[in-house]
Amino acid sequence: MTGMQSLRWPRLPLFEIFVAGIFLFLFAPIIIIVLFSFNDSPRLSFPITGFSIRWYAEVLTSPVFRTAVRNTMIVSSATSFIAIVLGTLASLGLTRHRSRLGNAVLPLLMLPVSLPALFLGIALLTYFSLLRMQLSLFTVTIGHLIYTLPYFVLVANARLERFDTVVEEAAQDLGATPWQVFWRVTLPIIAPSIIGAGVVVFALSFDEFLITFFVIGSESTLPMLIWSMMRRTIDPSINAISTILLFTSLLLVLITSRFVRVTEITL
Amino acid sequence: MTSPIVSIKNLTKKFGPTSAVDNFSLDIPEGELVTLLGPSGCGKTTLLRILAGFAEATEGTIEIGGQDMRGIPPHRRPVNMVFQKYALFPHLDVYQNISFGLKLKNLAPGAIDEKVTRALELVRLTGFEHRRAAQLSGGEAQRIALARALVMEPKVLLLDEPLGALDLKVRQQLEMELRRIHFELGMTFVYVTHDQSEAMMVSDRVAIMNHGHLIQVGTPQEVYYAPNCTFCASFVGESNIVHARIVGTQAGVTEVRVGEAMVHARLNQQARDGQEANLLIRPEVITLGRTIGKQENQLKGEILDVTFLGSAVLFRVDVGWERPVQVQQTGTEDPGTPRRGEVVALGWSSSDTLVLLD
Amino acid sequence: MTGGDTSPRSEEGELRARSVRSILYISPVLAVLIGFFLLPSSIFFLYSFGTGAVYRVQPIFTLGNYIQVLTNQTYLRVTLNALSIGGLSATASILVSYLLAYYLTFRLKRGRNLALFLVVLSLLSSYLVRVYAWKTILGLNGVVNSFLEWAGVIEAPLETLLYSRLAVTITLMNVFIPFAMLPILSSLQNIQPELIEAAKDLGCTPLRAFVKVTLPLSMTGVLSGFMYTFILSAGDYITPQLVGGTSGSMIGQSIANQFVKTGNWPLGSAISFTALSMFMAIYFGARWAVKALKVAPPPPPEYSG
Repeated sequence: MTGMQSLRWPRLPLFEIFVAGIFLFLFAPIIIIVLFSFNDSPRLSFPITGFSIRWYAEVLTSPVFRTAVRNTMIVSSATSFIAIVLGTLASLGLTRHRSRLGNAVLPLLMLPVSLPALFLGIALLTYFSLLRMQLSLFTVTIGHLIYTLPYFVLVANARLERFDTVVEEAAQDLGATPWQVFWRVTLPIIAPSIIGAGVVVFALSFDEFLITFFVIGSESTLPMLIWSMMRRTIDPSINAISTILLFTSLLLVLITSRFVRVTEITL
Repeated sequence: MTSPIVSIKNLTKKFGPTSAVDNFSLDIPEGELVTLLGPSGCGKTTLLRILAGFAEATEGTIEIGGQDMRGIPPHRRPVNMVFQKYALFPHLDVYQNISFGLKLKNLAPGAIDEKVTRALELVRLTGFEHRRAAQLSGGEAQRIALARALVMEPKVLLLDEPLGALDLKVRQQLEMELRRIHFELGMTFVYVTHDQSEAMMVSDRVAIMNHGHLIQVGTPQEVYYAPNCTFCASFVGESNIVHARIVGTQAGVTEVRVGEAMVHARLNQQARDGQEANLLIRPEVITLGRTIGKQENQLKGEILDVTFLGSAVLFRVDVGWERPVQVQQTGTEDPGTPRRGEVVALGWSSSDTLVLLD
Repeated sequence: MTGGDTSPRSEEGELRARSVRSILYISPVLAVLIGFFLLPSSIFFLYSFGTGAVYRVQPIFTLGNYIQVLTNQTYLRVTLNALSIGGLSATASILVSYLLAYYLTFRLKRGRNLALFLVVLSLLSSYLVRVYAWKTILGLNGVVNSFLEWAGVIEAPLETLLYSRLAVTITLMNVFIPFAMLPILSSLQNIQPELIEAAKDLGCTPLRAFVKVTLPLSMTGVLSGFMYTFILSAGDYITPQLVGGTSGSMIGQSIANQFVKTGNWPLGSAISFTALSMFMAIYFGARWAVKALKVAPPPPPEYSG
């Protein structure tokens, strides 16, 4: 395809090998955990002795696990729902009409993304204690909301920027009131991106550990369960729980990829 | 005389200090296809959007069907618009697009079905009901957009440069389709374009705009043969426009001096002797030959170049005026056609020469 | 959404109505940000000027905490650790993810969607699980050691793999490569291929075209990616806590300790903001360096949105 190269490279596809290597590096830990979750032996090292799903059985019947999953679902669902409502409104406001306020809000919104979760969690902890607010799943939801709203708005903005409002004018021209325009035209068109963004929020919230750790009080979520298991002696069922968590992420990413194009998101 | 379906009186639209539309007045009789023609930025699209209700005028009034449109939002106006980039709903198929407005009126499904079918027949796209917007070509999409607006049976149909995004051949075909549909329906159309040949093709009347003002309104013939100013003369069709000075008028023929030559021309307005003016000579009225003929106006000149355009041949001839004269003749294979460098004689009559006083 | 039923006569009125509406739409999120981010952060900042012990704060204005932070040897060491490990892993992550993003944008034709999917998957896979995974991989009985022993390369398990700065760096890279890739990918995708073609047409070799056209145009993405990656790496808590040991401990742990164990919140706050300021300083330094080296194009004129 290209004519003369200034250097003659050997026929090895170096770039391809490098890229494959990176992907291997990225997924190696995941693959290993999944592998070990089916390992018969309770030791976490090679060789693999046999195939077994006993750890899964242990985990899925454990009440501690079930409570953690239930709490995680509650928090993530609540966070997603609130993020969708607030974030869609904000995104519409930011992309439809440039105001000075809007220009100030966007960088402010991106701050929680650039600050370590440690910082966010601790700041919230001191704040809640000052307000004498009880630490609970509610405070966790607030923490997750701060953490995930920027991502929601990023994803939603990417779609809304591309939205050509002429279809809304066409709808009005055909007799639709502003409310009908929103319900019958705007919302159906942006719905996939909104859902996609919501799923991203859900996935982020589902995995979130550090902010949760500081503001949860005595409750437990799935990531917190994993953390506490890690601090104690090595319990092989941690691999099973981890795999379940990873599998959930996979499902969520599959759903997201149906609705959102990654390449449109600019940080 | 029946009252016009659209009555625009002294319409002005200001954005800050600048006027996008300036004191525009026009009455449109029912059933007419009138085109707002002008260069980019002349205000034609702004005016159309004000008619549709997407912008409010700063001054002036609009009446449609005898009803004052002030304060009435787009969704309550008896007009419908065909947008430049079709604006089809991407999440709906063709049938749902066309029936969108009808559903808002809560018509019975049977009635909707009938109207949609008829609309598709009208734009010659029967069978397209279940296609999605993304699957349509430009010409098809524009026809669906047209059907969607027509099915609402508006008092006035507004078309905002509907053919601008299309290829030449598709555009030409659709121009004829639009003319046919307009004739079949007898509906009032207000058409906006910057393409003068398109305007000439489809319109009953053409309203030429520049800088927000209405410059001239008339049938295509009137606008072509009797432009009232240099701008209109040069905007519509090809033209030769040169500076001239009026010498005198005798027996209906006005003599003007162009450079060294004396030209016989037609004057439609009052003017003084000695007044400066412009002269309009359409390229196709000039005869070009090797020998001098017997017309009122004769000039000799050297051919600068010859261009073969298919149906026409274009000559540029240097006759000693401020710029070369363009002469247009029917295209021909004749190898005897005069060539570059030859000296030829140009001739044309005074009735084909118009004095413009602006 | 234009022209309501009581539409104002003038254009300015319409614009003002839309402006009000957009402010209305933004206000819920703004309220949340102010109430649960700005306010807590400001109060947290103010705490750094107080004194206190055992989870209580006395409202005295003092710089004592900052002095303590800046003069303490341990804090100095872990801060340097954070900056060096964070800097190294961020730089390495940026380099790797740039190559990856470049390949995905310009070389890979088929399978690009799959590759992107995999990147997003690794991004959204649980951070905690991955750190834990590296803990097992690098441990005494972990995968690496078992493999090396089995292959006969070493005789006894390497102790220096886990609980080291190396472990922290590797783990951080694993987490942040996909993260850094997103802004870089986005900026590379936004480069019109015609620009590169034009450069080659005018005589540039592929390498020169890359240096003169592609690289500068993607610099905003690179800088943006570096900022996020560096600050989040340097301020990380989980990774050094799980795989860092003593030598790999970072400032994040010192901060966390004040809130989990010791309870000296003002001190913890002072450490936080000192660390944060240092991270910001490094980031702005890197940005200035890039501008000085004229690698990036000049910033565009002020634009809205």
